Amino acid sequence: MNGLKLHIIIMTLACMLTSQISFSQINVEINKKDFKTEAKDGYKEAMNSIALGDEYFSSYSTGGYLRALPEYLSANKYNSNNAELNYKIGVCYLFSTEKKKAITFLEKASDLKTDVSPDIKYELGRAYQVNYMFDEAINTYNDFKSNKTEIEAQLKKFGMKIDEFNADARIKECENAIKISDQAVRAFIDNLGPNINTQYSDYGPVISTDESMMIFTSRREGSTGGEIDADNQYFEDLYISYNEGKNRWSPAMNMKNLNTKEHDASVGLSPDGSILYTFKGTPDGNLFESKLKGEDWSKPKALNKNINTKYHESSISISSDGKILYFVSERPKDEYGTPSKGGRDIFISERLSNGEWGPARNIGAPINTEFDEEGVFIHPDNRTMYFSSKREGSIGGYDIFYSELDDNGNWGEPVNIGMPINTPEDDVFFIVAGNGIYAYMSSAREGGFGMQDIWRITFLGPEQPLVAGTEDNLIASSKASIKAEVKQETVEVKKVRLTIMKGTITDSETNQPLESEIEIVDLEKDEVYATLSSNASTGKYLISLPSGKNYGITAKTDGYLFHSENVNVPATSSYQEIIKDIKLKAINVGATIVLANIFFDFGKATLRDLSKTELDNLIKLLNVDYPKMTIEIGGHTDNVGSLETNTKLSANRAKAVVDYLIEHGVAKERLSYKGYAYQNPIDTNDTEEGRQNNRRVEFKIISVK
Amino acid sequence: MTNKMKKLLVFSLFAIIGIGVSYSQENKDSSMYDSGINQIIVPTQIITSPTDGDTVNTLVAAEGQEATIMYNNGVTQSNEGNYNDAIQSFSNVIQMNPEMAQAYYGRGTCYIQQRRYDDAITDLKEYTKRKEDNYATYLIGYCYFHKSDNQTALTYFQNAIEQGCNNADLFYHIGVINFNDAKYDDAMKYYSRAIEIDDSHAFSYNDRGSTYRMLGQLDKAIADYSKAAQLNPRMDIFKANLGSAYRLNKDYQKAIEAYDEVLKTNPDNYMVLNNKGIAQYEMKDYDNAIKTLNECLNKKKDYAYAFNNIGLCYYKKKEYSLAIEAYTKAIALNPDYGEAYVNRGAAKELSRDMTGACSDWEKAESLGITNLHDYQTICNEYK
Repeated sequence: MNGLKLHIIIMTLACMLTSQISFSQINVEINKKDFKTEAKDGYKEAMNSIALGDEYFSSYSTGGYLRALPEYLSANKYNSNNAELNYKIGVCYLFSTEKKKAITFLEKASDLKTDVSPDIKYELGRAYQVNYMFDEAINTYNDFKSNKTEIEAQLKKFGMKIDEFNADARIKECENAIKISDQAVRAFIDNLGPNINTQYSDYGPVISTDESMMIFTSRREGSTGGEIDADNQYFEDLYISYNEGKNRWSPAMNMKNLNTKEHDASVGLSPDGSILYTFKGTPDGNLFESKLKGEDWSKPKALNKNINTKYHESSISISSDGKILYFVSERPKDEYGTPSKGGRDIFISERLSNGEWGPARNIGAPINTEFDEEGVFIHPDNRTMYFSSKREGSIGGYDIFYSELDDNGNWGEPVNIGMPINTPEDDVFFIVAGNGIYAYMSSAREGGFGMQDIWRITFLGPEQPLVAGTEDNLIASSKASIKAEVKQETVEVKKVRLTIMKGTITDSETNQPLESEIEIVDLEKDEVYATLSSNASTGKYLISLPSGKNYGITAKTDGYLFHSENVNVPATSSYQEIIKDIKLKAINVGATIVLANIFFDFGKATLRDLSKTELDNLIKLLNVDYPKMTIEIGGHTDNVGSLETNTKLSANRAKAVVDYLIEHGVAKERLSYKGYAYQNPIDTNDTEEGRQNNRRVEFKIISVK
Repeated sequence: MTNKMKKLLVFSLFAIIGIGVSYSQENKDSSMYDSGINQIIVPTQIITSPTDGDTVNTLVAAEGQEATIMYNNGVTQSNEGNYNDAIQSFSNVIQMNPEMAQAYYGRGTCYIQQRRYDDAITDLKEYTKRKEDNYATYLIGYCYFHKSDNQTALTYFQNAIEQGCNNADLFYHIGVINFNDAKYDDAMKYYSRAIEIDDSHAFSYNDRGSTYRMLGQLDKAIADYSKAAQLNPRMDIFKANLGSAYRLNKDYQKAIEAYDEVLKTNPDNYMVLNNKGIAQYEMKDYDNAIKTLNECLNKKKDYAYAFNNIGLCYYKKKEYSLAIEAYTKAIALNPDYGEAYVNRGAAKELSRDMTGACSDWEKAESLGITNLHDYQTICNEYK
């Protein structure tokens, strides 16, 4: 059979994020007559295997090559010296996790017959490149280029043009790889194991910021509908797994209520894990969202027309405050008329006051280039963007780059994240955990279970300064040797500036999980930073708080007193996790609550502006929610100073709150106040932290009516 | 004073202090040098100071022929390195005539030879009480220098300068004191002054080279070490320092060539073998580096640095268990070797023993290593 170039449009996510040029589309014919050897047995079986292999091969897809491979290997047992068969086996191995074998077979094919296929040198170059033999790859690509006229003529027979083989780009990639090979990222790359990975393609992991949950795409056996697509793989399904600690993940479960007979792929997850973004290839590549309500994910709903267009949209990431959506689109210009940089670009959309996503804007240079950008991921610190790009500096196809947002709101020049995370093949789907230590990605690297696997990366940070032991007699007249000082270059260690606060919200009496609205306010600006909800079934919540703000956090559920927390995260604060379980108190007489976001000037009873948000919550409770409720405001201090002084101070502070409430329309007769000094501590007075907890303002419900 | 008499007053003083213009390898007192790069250095510059032409005549007038013979015998014995006999002769002369300044000077210099610096200081002070002599003042300072009393040494050196001493060695020693106090700019000034006075002062070139090295001016260091080695090709220390300057300047091939020059004549020089091993390590020639470092250990089996450096080579070869083994030997030899803990921690880290790595880095910090990168973040993940 002469090789035919088949054009099969397979709109899977993996397919959309793969460089098409890496698929060999030359199905060279294995001549029956030439294939026959003197061996009596096995010829017929071998030819059958070849026929089946060719069928798979001609799908020109990863699945096809990998299904063709065992067939070809079977035929190869009969005749291992057939150039065409060696060529095909070599090409198939390029898509396997045993890429070294591609070199062996392609070299042999070339040795047996230099013109076995017009692209033999190109494929051999690829084999060297994906096996990190960059010098050999460059030489072989140059060989391919040097026979341009002859190759062009041969390619015509297969309906192909030499332009489809961009050897110059591949050479450039190899040169880039050589250039950055000394700057390898220090990281462990671990396969997530059989609970996640299979012999089929497993890819596109998305995680919650605290890595407690992972959703990914798999084309494993047992996918919904059970059918195999034209690319010889099962249809994409969504799977979910939970972190059991120490890099152990629970057996992945099919997200049956989300999966359909079509392709369903994961592309993004909100930092708290409550909104899943999915990709559907039909009709033109669109993005959907599904919300976790209790234990159920809602039916995926297409994002609005500001996001989805008639052009291809593929990947998505949402800022931790839920206000900005980053996504990839092939649209030629944005909603403001700004033309795209070329190919796929990254766009942003801001959430409007009605909760909808606003007009998309091209994020521009230096992120977008004339080359394709893909796989965008915004870290929950809202300052670091990871994405894939084929731009200058790539070492092969898509490489992962990152860019950091400066204090003026400008994205910095993207940096190639380096090897071994980036490989000479396409590297997309890269996500980083909140702590910045772990990242997840999928790739078909050696050591996997087969095809694409999901891997966890542990960033080790900079190598400790290794010091050689050396001494010299520097002074000629001095007998003492002098240990030479080894000066180390200062390495700036990038720290994640993020605080995660997580826990559960429950009823203080029954311990039942509560779905509660959590409002996070930037107290300095007195504006809502983000609003989210705890899960109705579990009460779990997760808040991502980038450093540099003083946050007032209020949990509100109807029928309960609101609960407030203050989390002040200085700009220099690096990654931390705060576990805070919140118990909401039902509205009952005698219930008390600490007003955590009431602040006074030091040693005085003057309310600071930062208190406004908390006081407004209280005013709403009294004027809107419970207009007949009467309360007592209680002031409390630590035990530093005399009782008399503290009683006076605590009473004055309670009075200041009452005065504010009266000024803002709460009837005087509904309010009372008392200074308790240090007589009702809620924590020890022996530590600063304890004393700080004891310095507080509370309110107590006197009557509800 | 006749020529014969002048000859009698010759002292080989620089044999003691290791400075001067030209050198031979005939020192009788090799114990003053540690093994290692320093060779036995016998400066043979001959000085005639103090050159009081009347001394012998005065002596003759006072005590007659016997004292003269005794004094001349002291000078002869001293020149021949028989310091005990020389001291006895000078003591006899002093007994005959306690005002005989030259006998104090002669005996004082013999005490210097024997490193009896307190006795030398006493005699030289007796001498300078009787005669103002800027060179003797310098020698007193020199004795204090060797007693590690740099402050007093500097006072005498300063006095010698005020008295008009314009000797390269004097400025050289002030340079050394400043160098040891890490006052490199001042050291540079004094070494340069010594070279200005005597442009063949190899020691000053070497030490100024070291000063440049400490200031990170490696090209200038290389120039000075080269000059020192050119002035005295037999001084291994100059070539060894030249090698190290090349190494620090990342010119590893030249470094190895310079080290090999030393090893040609002194193959047992373990410090040079170690440094050559480091240069090979820097060239990523790990196998040969290990070979050289093992050779170093053949010369000095308890040399912790060499074990540490072997560890580095194995680390780079990704043979982490062998690296850890070598570092562990270095640590066994020197339990306070903080850098070896840092290095071993790095090897443990890459062999996935994070607990061990974190423990080593904590230990390194407790030993005063301050330049570690943040390891707590990752270590906390493994707790």
